[in-house]
Amino acid sequence: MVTQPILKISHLSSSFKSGHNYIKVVDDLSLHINPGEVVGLVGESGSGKTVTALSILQLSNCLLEGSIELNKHELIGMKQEELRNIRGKKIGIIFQEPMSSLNPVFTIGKQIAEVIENHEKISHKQASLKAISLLENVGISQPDIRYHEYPHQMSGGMCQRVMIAMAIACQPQLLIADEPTTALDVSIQSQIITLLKDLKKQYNMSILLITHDLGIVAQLADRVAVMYAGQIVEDAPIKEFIKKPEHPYTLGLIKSLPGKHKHGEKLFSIPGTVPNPLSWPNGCHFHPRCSYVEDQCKVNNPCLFEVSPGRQSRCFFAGRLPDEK
Amino acid sequence: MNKKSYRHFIFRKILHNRLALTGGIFIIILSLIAFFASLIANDKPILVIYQNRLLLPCIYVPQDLKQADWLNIINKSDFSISPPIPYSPIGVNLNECLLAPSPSHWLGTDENGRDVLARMIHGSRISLQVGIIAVGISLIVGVYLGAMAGYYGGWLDSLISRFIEIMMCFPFFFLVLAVMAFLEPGIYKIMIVIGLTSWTGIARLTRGEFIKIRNEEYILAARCLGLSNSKIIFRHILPNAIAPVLVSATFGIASAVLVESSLTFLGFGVQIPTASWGEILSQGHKYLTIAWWLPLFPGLAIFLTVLAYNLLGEGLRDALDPRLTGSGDSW
Amino acid sequence: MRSEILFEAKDLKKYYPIRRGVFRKTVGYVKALDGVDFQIHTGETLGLVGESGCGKSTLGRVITKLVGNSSGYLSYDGSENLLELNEKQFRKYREKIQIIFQDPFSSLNPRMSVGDSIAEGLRSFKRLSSTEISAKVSELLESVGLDPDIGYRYPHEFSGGQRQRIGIARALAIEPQLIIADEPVSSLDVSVQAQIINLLIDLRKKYNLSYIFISHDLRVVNHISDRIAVMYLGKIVEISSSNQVFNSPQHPYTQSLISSMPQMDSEQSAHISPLKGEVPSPINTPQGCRFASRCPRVMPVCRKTEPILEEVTPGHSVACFLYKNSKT
Repeated sequence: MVTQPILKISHLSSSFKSGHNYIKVVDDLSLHINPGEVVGLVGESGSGKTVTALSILQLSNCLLEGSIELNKHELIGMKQEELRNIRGKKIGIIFQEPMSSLNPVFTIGKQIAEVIENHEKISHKQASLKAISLLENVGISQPDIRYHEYPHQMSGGMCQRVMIAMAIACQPQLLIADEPTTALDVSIQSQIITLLKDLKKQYNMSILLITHDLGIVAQLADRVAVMYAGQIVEDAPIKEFIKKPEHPYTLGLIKSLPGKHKHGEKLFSIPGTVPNPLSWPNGCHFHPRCSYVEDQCKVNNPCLFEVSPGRQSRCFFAGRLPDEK
Repeated sequence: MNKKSYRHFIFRKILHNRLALTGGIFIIILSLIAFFASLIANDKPILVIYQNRLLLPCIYVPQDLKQADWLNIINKSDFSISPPIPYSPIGVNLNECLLAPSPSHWLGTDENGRDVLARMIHGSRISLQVGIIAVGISLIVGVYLGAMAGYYGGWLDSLISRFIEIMMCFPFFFLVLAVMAFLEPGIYKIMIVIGLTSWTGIARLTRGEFIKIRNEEYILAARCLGLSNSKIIFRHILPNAIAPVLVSATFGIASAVLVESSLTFLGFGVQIPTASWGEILSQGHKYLTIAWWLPLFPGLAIFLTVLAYNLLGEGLRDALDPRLTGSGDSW
Repeated sequence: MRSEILFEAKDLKKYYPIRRGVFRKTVGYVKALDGVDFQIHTGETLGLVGESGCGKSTLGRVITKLVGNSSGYLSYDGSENLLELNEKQFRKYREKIQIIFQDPFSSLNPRMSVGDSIAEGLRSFKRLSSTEISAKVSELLESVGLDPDIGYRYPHEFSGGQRQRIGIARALAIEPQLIIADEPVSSLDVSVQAQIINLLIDLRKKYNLSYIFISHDLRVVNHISDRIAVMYLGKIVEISSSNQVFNSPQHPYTQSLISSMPQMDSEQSAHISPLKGEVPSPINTPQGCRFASRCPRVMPVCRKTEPILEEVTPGHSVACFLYKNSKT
């Protein structure tokens, strides 16, 4: 039996209003996440990945076109009351800056309990007990004492654990993690990744992991989708992706990592810079920086070609790029 | 290549704010009226050709004509251009006291027969100068003390902050009255006194901005480049710190106009026969029931001027608010 | 052949007092730096790695005297102790030691054109006419890979990577010999990081610069540095050539740090379990080794006495009791 994806985004376009014009920041994005799957959405700043996450939750101030289906329910155009039922309950979200995502005037325990009380009909006392057990679940020691602490009394890593506890409090089907480890130290990063791995197994959650760090994606994700200038340029299972990327941009990204070079030699760098949405090039968005560019790339915008089953790439030469050394 | 400096950006933002724009235009018109007051309301002609001499009496009166009767001269002249409001602000004419507004006296006359409009026009000079001089003084004192306190910190900050707090303890108006009681009344004395007693808010604002900015990385870079303290304070920090201070200053101008009017009303400001809006108001309030135009027009003028400065100040504040400009990154 | 020692630090300490109460009594200290020694040779790049709270950024600011009240010994090219000089006396050394900051969005004065920002150092130290200054600014912009005519523009018109280049141009303007790069690429996108690192490598060759490269990203530091010093809670725990530190780390903290780095290859090399617990606060530093509370190989002696940074193999110093015996 074919499993239905938990989240199905089809041809999503998000546009910001600026004066009298609309500026498209996400262009024809299609992505699906299966139950229990971790999908990494990778991109640099300006690629549109955070706007995508906010668009899923209908929290972006954008005009949305296309369709976003959560378990077959269309989210675009849904009424606010129904959306509130979904946010926090069916979809949880954790943000990048744990210290500023928590309300500084409330104790962390109260903030978690608030989420629970909002969605489930249980008493305040029961909600606090549930919150304490959640704190323990995310690896915070002495949770009954920590319940009464304020965000400023905790470190960045602990605040992120609190955010995770809030996000999974109502056992959502999908967890959106927007750069969950970027602001944290390396050793704490690996703790959080391990935690997410455990929680995924425990709750059978799907995770949309948004990040720019390919290393984290390699550790946690089952599949990776790479974004560039508002579009998904590659969508592949993680192992195949690491072995051989099939898009010039992703090839370039991996080639430019310091670990892939000899000590002291010049790093490979993709020439040029990411275009901002006001000046996306005609044709393929990446063509001005691409070393494999040909005339058709300047005129036609490639769609996602299937390179092999379950693997897509937005390039006319997908499947025919030379091996990276 | 278009040079998009911060000042141009702020200017454009204010232009788009209709209320602020209206306030700004009002102030510009008022300034022009004040500047050209002698040419707009005067009993002497602007230009007259008399006895084969070309004279510009509004600007300069030759020695032999100092006591002349200008009406006579105009009648006898070959050619003359009179100002649009042909009355002097100080010329007494007891035949025409307390006249209601009419085509010959657009805003009526006061108890001494002087044309109210002419007095208002000349009075605008005082009102505008008060704002600028008083706020100018408080800016100089307040910004300097606030900058020293905010930049150096330590005991200097403690000292200056305590001084600011002591100054703030005095009720402002009574302080001004106390000082004026020792001095002879005079309009410029008022402006200086207002300036020297109202700098505390600006000092605090400046101090706060300096404390915030002195730890920014570009200031650390400036220190690393061996720049002297005064250069860092005035060339690097001050342009970044000045924005909220300027907003406060525009509101300060409005407040200074009101204070001057109140002080003149109480008798401490300009002395007769000099015209100022506060003075017309103070003389006129006695005649409220029989000559409604005497308190009404200066009151209206004060109200509109204060409103205009406030609108401009709010427009400036909105334009400078980094939240409204987006990330501050996309000018 | 060893080049001369350009810069030397001994027993650098920087404590921030914590004051409480109405009378601001000092109740304790945040020990940001607690006794740091190192040397840099001409043309060498020393990498400084560590996590938040280890003191690496404080070190950069102490060296450039952007924060005062530190104790210890600092010398540039055999000079007297720089920490004892006042600002006037230290000024001539400012020409030699410059700093590049992390955040490209706050390291440039938003109210000054980029050309003016770059020229500030020139105006401060050199007596040049305005045409000479313009020419130098254009030359600097070109050497960092930017269009030489953009000096009149303002910082907000540039991207993060471009602003970082401008910051580098500003640091280079007065021809320093030692540049402290405080997390210069951490706020940049991956593809831009590579460009800036390449630029720093080029400039190093061209001007024979020495760098102190501060970062939390071990891979980047490894790539650009000759030697790496690993810091933890205000002290250096291991210092050696970058190859040694990266491929055969000795200190347990360094080992855990390296194994915590997310690996791209799915076959993970001998995986040491990631560090448990949080970095303790630099206020109440524990007695004994600071790492004892999280160390997977802690011994009783570690909790009583602090280990000293000592050479265990030539050129490789570690502060750990596990290696104390190998010397004796």
